[in-house]
Amino acid sequence: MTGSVLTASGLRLQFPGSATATLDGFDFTVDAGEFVALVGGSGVGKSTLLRVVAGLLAPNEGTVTLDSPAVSGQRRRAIVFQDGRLLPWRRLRGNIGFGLEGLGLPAVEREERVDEVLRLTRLAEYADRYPHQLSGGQVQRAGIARALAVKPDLLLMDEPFSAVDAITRKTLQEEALRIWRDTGTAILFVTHDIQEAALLAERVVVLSGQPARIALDQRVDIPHEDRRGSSDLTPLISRISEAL
Amino acid sequence: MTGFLANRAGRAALGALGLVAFVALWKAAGTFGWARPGTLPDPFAVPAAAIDEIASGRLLPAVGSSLVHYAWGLAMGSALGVLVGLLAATSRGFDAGHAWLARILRPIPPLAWVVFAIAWFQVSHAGAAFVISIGVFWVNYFATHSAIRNVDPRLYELARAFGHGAYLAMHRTVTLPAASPGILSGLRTGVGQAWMTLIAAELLGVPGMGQEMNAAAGVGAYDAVVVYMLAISLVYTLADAAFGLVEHRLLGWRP
Repeated sequence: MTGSVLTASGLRLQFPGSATATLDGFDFTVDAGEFVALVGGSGVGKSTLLRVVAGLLAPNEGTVTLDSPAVSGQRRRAIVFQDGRLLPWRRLRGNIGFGLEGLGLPAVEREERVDEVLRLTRLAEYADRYPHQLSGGQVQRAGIARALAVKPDLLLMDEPFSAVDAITRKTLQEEALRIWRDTGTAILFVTHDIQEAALLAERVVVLSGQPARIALDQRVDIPHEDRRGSSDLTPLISRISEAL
Repeated sequence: MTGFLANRAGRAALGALGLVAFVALWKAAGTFGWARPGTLPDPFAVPAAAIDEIASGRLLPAVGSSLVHYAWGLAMGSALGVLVGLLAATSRGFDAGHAWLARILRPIPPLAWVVFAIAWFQVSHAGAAFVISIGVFWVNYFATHSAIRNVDPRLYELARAFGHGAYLAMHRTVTLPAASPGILSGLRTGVGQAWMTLIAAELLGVPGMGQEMNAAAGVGAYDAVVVYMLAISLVYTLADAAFGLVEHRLLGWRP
């Protein structure tokens, strides 16, 4: 798959009661299969941008276009929330199938899809548990599984690993990479963690200012397996820090 | 003492002791003439009175009759209360449209409607059910309304993100289950509220425990009045326990 999956152009967004716009004349593209990290300080508008891209927040001006062809039985974009956000009254299996309801899929196929992502996210043995019976890391993986079940071309992740402990975070980061390779979906990954961005992304986009501008848009060509603990990342990390 | 209270048998023993103390006080009040003569039944006469009320074929038909308008009043009041509370909490148009009316009607006690219950339904189950349903309606209306208002707004964002943003889909998949603990606790309060108005509603002459109680009081049979009071307590306890089981089953997902 080539070309872009997302084109945002001329976005302007100003919250009511706010003196300045969060986004103004903002243009942004994500290519098919690309892993993009969106980095910025708190309050700069990266989560806002993600919500506009997700279609959860309507911009005052500008357009968000999904460029991949619409396929039946699929949602072209899906989001993973920072807080996992499972429905507490549904078992894990029911939570993961949430986005599949209303897609017109036969029940058998819905079950197959759920089983498939349960395996992909290594959650199969917990399928019948309620959310309160899962660990923080499992909840986060469930959020990813729910998003993957709808076979998105663009996976939006909103600081998905910021609420888990360091060891779990490392595991989840590895899994995110594996899932990205296995599924071929593009990922737009919001984080305030420079290290995380440098470890995971093929392209790092730094937002700063008010309204938010792209302060740095940098490709990362170091292979993922060589990155963790490598000093090759040091120049990249310092460039991101400067841009912030 | 805390050790004693920590075990089940200890607490049960104290509970029984409290009951015995109450009955002793009651008996003493009769023996020493603390109440106006003839107005306080002997507690030890109550079992015999109960047997007499059952044997004479008054108690059980009265319970049955009470249950008929209780069930109807409870069902109607609950269904309408939940429905209107749901509409008020989820539709801004409905909320604005009904707000003044609700504010005017809310303070009117259910029993004030007895006049109209008689005018519209004569002396019938429907009349008693109508009066009962009004109290139940308000309990459920407020419980449902506030339960829905308290649903975590982040769940609505989740619903919109995963294709459940339409009114019906969103409220079926998110609002109702999320608000179910509050809605169910409103329904359970209604089960009790209906009993509270039941006896008074029967004063309009519909057969039932309230009417039998009134008839017994009329001839000074206060021991029979106590029998009906205890019967009401028993039926309520059973209804509440049954509802508790249903609630526990439906809310098994909670930690």
